[in-house]
Amino acid sequence: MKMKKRKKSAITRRNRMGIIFVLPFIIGLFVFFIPALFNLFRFSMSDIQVLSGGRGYSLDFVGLSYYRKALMEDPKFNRMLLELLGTVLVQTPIILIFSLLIASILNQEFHGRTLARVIFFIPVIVSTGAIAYVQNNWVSIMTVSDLGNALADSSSSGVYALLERIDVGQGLIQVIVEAANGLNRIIRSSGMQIYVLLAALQEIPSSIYEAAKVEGCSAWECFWKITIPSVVPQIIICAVYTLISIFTATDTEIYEYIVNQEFVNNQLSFAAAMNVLYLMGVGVCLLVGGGIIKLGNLHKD
Amino acid sequence: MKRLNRSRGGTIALFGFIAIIACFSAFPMVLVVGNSLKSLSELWKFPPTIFPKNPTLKNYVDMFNAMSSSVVPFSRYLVNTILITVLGTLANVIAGSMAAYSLCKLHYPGRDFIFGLVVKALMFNTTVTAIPLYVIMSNLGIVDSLWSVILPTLGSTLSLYLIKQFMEQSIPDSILEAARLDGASEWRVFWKIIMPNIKPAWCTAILLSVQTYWNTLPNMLIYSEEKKTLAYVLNQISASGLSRAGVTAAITVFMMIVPITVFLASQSQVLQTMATSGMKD
Repeated sequence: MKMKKRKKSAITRRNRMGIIFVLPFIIGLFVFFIPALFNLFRFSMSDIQVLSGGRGYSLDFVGLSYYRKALMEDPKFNRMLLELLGTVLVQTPIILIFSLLIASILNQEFHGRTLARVIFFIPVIVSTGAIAYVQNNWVSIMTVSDLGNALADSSSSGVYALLERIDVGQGLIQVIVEAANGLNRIIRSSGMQIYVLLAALQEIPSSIYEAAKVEGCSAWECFWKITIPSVVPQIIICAVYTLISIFTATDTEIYEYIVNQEFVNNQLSFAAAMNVLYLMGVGVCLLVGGGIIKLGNLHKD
Repeated sequence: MKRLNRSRGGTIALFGFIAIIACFSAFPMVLVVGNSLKSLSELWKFPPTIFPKNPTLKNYVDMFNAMSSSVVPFSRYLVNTILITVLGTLANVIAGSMAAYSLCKLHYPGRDFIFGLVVKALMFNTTVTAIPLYVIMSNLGIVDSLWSVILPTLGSTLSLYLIKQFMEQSIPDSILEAARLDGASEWRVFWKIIMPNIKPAWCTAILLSVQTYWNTLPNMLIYSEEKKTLAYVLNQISASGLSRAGVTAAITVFMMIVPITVFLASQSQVLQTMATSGMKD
């Protein structure tokens, strides 16, 4: 009895420590994140009047009118939101499969392996500012007649110019450009995932593969029966990371549109309403993603 | 480690594929480094060259000249950026590891709820809440200070998520139990057992965090010139027109030095430790 009591108090103490350890995050969440979210909702349903002389602002409640404006009147917003969701659904699986493929190749022993790993990861850590611009648009930059045009207009017109000189058909040009840009985008957003999966693959002891080979497993079977099950947790991490990077990307059309409304046109409430809708879109994606993971787990059981 | 056991043709095809992908991946870097060494006339050539024909350091000289003519001494921006990077990274990694330990290995009511919140907070584009956040910080009186950059990132960080997932995999509960039976406090368990064993995780966290803070551009939050960051002043230099295209490339290369150094220092560490850590149940 006494023993039990002491054990219990030790556990309570440990739990208290747990809360202390996580406290910085709770403070961060409750001081910054949640109030900011709350304010965003408030702004989206009010007309904001910035008071003169630095006395803050006043709000007039207007209900859902800005949401109506975003969904019913604005010509672009619906389309851009749907496009973002489409991007998530298409890109996430492609990025994951691609990363796993590259990671399994990099996991093998060959000369220059370290160099290859560095090359695949460096885009992740340098991808800001000017280099991010080049990373996104080099297919165009390399082919426009002058850099000025490339900077002024990031469409791929220059690529056409070059390919037209080589004289291939218009349809083929389109395909080549799309493929190059698409491949570029996927490689650019897979660095971190390759890194995480590579680390996971290295954790699998080689003895398992040897045993499987003795039992007569083909490489294909080994991949599906050993490799994939061992890296499922890391695949989930990568999926979350991919979603984060797509949702927080600053080079998407919808992001630029909202920021433009917010900071250039000073349409604060309208931008806030669009932000809330954007967040709802993110929420839907998370629910769907979570559902798929749950289904996968059920299937495994 | 797997050994290669396939036909010669297959091997060649596979590495050809890797080589093409690697070219895609490395090309922007090569292009920017090349551009930073080109003269202005060569920059506008068509078709563009990848490697400069007459390499020149003029762009770098121009960059340093522009730096030395800034309103506030250039070292000021550098110190600000280093302060933000070091403080932010330390806070992120230590607080992140502590929270990860708590969320992963300790049990208390509301734990899963907190973790859910943390993951969801990660999905938010910080600009989405930029204006409401500004209002909050203004009420707290931390606008126009370095804290306005560091503090808000504490509530939402990738480090916590990555470290927690790593911890789940690599630290068996039994070793923690053993330490506790020997009378170690939670604090001691955390520093003596958890931290050394999740080194790869916090190396990765340091890497991501250094990259974020080093390039931080707190346009809205900091308006005193003497509190601005390196990324800000370099942005100003490169924003002054197309004639500065070469200087922009030089600046990009200059800004890459720190994150790349941190990466090179940590990468072998991370991958090696990951390969050899054998703490399994």
